[in-house]
Amino acid sequence: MSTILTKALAVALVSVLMVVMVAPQPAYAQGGLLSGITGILSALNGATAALQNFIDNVMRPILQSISAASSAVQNILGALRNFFEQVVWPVSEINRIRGLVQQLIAQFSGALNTLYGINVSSAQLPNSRQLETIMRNRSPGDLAGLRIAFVQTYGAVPAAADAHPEERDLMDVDDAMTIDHLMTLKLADAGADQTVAAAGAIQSQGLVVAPGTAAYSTAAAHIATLESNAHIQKMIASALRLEAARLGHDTMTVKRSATFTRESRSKTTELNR
Amino acid sequence: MPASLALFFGLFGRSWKLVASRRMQIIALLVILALLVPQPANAQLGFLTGLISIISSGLSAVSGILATVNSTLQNVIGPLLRSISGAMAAIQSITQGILDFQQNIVYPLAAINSARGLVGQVQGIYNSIRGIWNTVVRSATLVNPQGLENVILSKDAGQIGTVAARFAAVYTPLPAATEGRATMLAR
Repeated sequence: MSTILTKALAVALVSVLMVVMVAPQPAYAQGGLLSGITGILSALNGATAALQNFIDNVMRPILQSISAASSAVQNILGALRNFFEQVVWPVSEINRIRGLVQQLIAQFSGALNTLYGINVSSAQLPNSRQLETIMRNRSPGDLAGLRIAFVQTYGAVPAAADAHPEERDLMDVDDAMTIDHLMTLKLADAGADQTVAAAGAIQSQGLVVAPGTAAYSTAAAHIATLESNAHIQKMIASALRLEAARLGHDTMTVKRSATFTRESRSKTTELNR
Repeated sequence: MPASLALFFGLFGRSWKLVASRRMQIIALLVILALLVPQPANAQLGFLTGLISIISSGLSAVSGILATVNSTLQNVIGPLLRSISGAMAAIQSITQGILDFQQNIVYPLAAINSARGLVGQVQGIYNSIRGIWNTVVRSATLVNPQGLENVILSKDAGQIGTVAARFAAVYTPLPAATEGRATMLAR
């Protein structure tokens, strides 16, 4: 029994010896710490070097280009500002033009208004004075009164029994063309007053006009010009109608002479029979 | 010999006998204990010195690079950023100047509103004038003159074809060739 136990003990002892010899030696903990610190410092060093490299090779060129671009933009904007302020819209020139507008207003408005206000009426008798007053009052609201005053001054068309129909037509159309023309003249006078008001508004705007608002003033002036041209054309048309009526009247006089000649010849022939 | 001494020698003798009889087991136990006991650690002073040396050199290197970075930032990047900042400030100033000039001189809001008002005012005036011109102008009293007057004041180009007839109705047609002298008819 003792021998068996001794052998077993010897086998166990040999096994333990072999395990201990084959098994790795335990590592020093301190050796791992050093290695870790070295690694961290190395990584930190590398990162810092990379940062330096980034600043030198990436950041600096970019900032240099930004700096150059900023300087260029500054120069361009400065040139643009000078161009705006000294060439395109110089303040002194703007003020000079406003002064010119003021000068023109002072020079013309007062004088023209004085001229427009001069009374040019000259009729002396009641009927003709009434007609003159109505035809010069610049009111479009009393056209019927104009016709009445005209008839009172120039006489009415004779009754049918008192004149030849052709002559009555001629008298009536002559009167109508004349009265129509005078009515048109009254409308034109009324419109002219308002056109003068529009012109006054436009020239007043010239005192405060700014370069950027000139288009508005120009548009308003164009509107006024076009409308005024249309009114002038209406007046010219009226004058042309009157001139045509006058020509028609002259021609009819000749025609009437021919008619009288024919009638005289006819009566003379009858008398000779 | 006292009894206690006899007891001691008795116990020692029996222990010695026990040890002598199990000497192999005791030796094996001692060997095992000798192998399992941890190895003695190295002295800590040398390790600390090495550790400090490594950290010091590493931090020194990092410090050197950081000093270079700092120098670069201060001497290169700093002036660049300052120049950019200056340029940006100048750009802001110029842009503000341009904006002020546009708002106060070129496109002042009050002038724009005034000009818009002018356009509306002029349009209103001419709308009024158009109303004036729409007033009917007629004054003939007889049939033939009224017919002629209506045609020539109609503003209708489509009625041009009727003008001659209306005119002849008022001013009479041209006499026949036998009713007047050629010179008169040709007038």
